[in-house]
Amino acid sequence: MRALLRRRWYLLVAPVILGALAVLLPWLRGGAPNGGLLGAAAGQPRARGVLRVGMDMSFPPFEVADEQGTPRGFDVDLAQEIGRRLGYDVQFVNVSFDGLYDALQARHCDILISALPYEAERTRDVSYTGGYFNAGQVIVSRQDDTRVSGPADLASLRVAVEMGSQAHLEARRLHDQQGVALKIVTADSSDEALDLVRAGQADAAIVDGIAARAALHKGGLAIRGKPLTDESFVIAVRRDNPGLFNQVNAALNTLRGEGWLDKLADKWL
Amino acid sequence: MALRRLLQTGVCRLLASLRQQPGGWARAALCVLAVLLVLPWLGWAPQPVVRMGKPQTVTTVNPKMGVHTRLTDEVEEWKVQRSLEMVREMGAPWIVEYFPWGYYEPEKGHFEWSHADMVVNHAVNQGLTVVARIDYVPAWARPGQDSYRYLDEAHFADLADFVYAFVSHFKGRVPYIVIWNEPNLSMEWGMRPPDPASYTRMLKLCYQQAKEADPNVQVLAAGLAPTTAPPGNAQAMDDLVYLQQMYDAGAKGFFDGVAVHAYGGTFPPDDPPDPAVINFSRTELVHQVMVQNGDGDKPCLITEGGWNDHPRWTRAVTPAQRIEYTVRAYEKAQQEWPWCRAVALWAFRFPWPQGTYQDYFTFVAPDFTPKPIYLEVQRYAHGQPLDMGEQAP
Repeated sequence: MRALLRRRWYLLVAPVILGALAVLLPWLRGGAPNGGLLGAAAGQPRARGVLRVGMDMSFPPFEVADEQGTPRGFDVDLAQEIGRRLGYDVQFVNVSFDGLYDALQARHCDILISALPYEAERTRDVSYTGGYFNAGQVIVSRQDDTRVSGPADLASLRVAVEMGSQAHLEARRLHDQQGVALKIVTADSSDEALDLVRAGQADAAIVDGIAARAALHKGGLAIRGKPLTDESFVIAVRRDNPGLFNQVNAALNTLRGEGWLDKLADKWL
Repeated sequence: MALRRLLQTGVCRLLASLRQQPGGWARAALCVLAVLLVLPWLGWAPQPVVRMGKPQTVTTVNPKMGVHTRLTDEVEEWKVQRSLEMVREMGAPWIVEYFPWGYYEPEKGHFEWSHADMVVNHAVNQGLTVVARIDYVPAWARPGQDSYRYLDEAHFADLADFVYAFVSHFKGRVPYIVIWNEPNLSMEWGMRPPDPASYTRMLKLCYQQAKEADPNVQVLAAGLAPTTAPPGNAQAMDDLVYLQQMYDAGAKGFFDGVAVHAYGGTFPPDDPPDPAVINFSRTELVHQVMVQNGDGDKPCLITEGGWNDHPRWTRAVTPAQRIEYTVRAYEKAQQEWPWCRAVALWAFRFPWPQGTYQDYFTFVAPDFTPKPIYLEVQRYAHGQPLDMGEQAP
């Protein structure tokens, strides 16, 4: 037996080596939280110490370049805070909206933070974090008018919407498919729809979450009930970078748990 | 497929033998139940049964209304049918559809028409007039070239042969064809500088073959990309200059009409025509070039065009403006442009979300939800006032 083992020693060693490889390979390829050893060597953020954030800086108040070309906005602050907590310097890569996903796949940036809605069709290529701001349609009415706490309460009320918008579509859905007998009042923009509510020329408005939050700052209005639609903004990370995805998602969850995201929304919207 | 066929044959034989045994029916029923449970696991799902139905006609106050559909990549027949039903229900009698040469002639002389037949038959059954845009070069006709927009002159005859086959096959069903798309852009001309003389040689060959196949088919010169590119630009040539250079190269007599791409940008449809501006009324300048070359009696057909309401695109308008401009554009062509035969706006619906500004050109969402613009255009087409809700005071 001993002689046999001396001749076939590799039969004992091989399973040990294979087992070790099975544990180590995923880590080497990027399964580890910091992108893995090979990932780091291949230019992952940890290796460079820089997190490159792709965004289209033409969508205030989420991201816009000021006169000096400095990025400003909700997403800019969010990216910098995530970078700070993960120990990265943040570098912004300005890309037109339609080119964002191509820039990510071409590795011109590490993540996308650009008021991006979740798109199921893209999940073959990217992983999305949880939402950090819901821009879905909401009901807004005057602060002193407590008649409305949800869509059913809109029956027989005048509801202002931007003509042809998603809000208009939603108002029609409520009317046609859910039998809420509301009266649609059309305006040329979300802001005008909200002005009609302020002026008492409409009882409520349906607008997107961005317009609604912005309107709250002017006073006199309140968001009623839950959003009618979910249009959450999310952060996109390449699917082949699970380590970075886990880091960013965890940081975002922490920010959400601390109420930091709510404060950020109050600052910019 | 093979596995499924094997399974079906096996099940049939098993059922036949079970029926001949005592208590066989009960066992047969159990077998059927088992098969029904297994089939979803094999990836089989029941498909809606699609019946062609009775031939329909389009009801509209404006017979020039149309849309560019995108059914080339729509796989499921019920979705093709539903799209075309919704076009008819909107009140648009015209569609432009893309028929890529490379899809239908994968090998020289070998044609596969099944999907194209399905689309055309449903369109005809809905009472729609089909304008077929033909381009997309198969790999065998562009040896060594990556771009499916690349076709050298040595292979122009191959395209003309395809046009002959297409027109012969769809005789009586597709009355209009468009040869190529936006050849005044380098990217649409195989990444070469635009070359109107070369395109004219292509058009001549295709025209002759099309008429050989069916003298009644109407051959349209390609819709040109509206652009004000300066002379010498390698990427694009001004569409008005390009059309004139086609005439200079002898194109007259080798097309029955001109396809026009009439995008409005941020301008309303009544913004006056100006060679330095890209707007809907630029169509009048295209017609003017035709008049100057003695072709004023030939029609223009708008095969792409319209407005976009993307919230983040600088060339977009608001949704309300898009509705107003679109209805006015249809109306303008009907009332003021007797030489414009059809206005097919881009794009009725995509099979899936594009995730780009393109989604904001559409009338109907991929899941067939009609956008407000669809409903308003439908009201216009049926002679009803626009349903803007109660107007803001």
